[in-house]
Amino acid sequence: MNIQDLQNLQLIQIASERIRNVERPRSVSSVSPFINNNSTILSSCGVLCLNPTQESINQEGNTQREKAMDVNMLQRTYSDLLTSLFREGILNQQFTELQQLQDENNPGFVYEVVSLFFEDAGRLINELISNFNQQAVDYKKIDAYVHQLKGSSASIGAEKIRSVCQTFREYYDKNDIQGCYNCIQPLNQEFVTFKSKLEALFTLEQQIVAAGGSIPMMRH
Amino acid sequence: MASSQLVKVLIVDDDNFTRRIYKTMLFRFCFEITEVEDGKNAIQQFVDGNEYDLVLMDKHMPNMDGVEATRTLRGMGIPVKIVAITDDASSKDTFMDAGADKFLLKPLTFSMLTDILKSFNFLN
Repeated sequence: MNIQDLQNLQLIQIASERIRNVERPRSVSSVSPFINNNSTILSSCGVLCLNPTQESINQEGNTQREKAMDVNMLQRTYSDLLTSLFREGILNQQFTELQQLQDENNPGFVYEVVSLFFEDAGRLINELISNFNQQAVDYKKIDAYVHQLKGSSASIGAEKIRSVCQTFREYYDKNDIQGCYNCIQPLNQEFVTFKSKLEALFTLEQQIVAAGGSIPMMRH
Repeated sequence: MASSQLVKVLIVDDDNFTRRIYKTMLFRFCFEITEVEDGKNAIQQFVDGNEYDLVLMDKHMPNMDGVEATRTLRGMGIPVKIVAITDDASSKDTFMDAGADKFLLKPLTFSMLTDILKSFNFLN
């Protein structure tokens, strides 16, 4: 290898470095300045500059298009899931009220209150099950737990949970202990279903935001 | 009105979840908010010399329920606006007789709250 070869090699290395480090042109109109700014080096190396640049623009465009499609798909999945939650009666209008309270001053409000509900409701249901399994069942305490659960489920729009609590209280008012007892399993099941579906919803929200999209607002 | 121009609200509810939702609604109006878990602590707020423009009062609470707390406040001559907010529809007459100004059924929505605040001229 002679000195000229070495110099050419160095030029090629410099050009490659520049192409990697320079901000890639994001549109066709920005290509010409990019080439012009680097033309001396590129032409010195006899490098065909147009095609790699065009290719990088195409790749960038494709990546952005793919990203947009990902966000759209996530948003559609989110909307479909939320619609199904309302259609199945798992959520009611009160949940929409909570979503409308979320803004730039309270960005994670819905997640926060629903997480609080998961904690509180989980604890209350465990207490209920534990109390029913005791020798001497304290029905007054159980009624207090169910009352609390009914209130909090109503506050966040957890309709099915609220409804089972309402049924329980109707049995309690009639002193129908068997009826009360029969509500506990459905209550637990509704809670488990609610929790898993809302967790899926929040996961989708995180994915949408991470992909640069916004959470679709739905009116019900 | 309480001494400063800022509307002061006392939330009285044993459910911290419900209090969280009410606080978020009220923050929209930049009100000053205090929260307590039962009627007894609500009374203590006034005994301690605190002033409020509005009380959001739940019914079923440990230590002292909302009806008793309302009756006690009126007996003390406290003129604060009291809004009873409960899921117990049958308690409306009891609450109003005890001295509540308004009665609302849970769950409280933002528009219900706004209507109440407007009716008391707290949104001027």
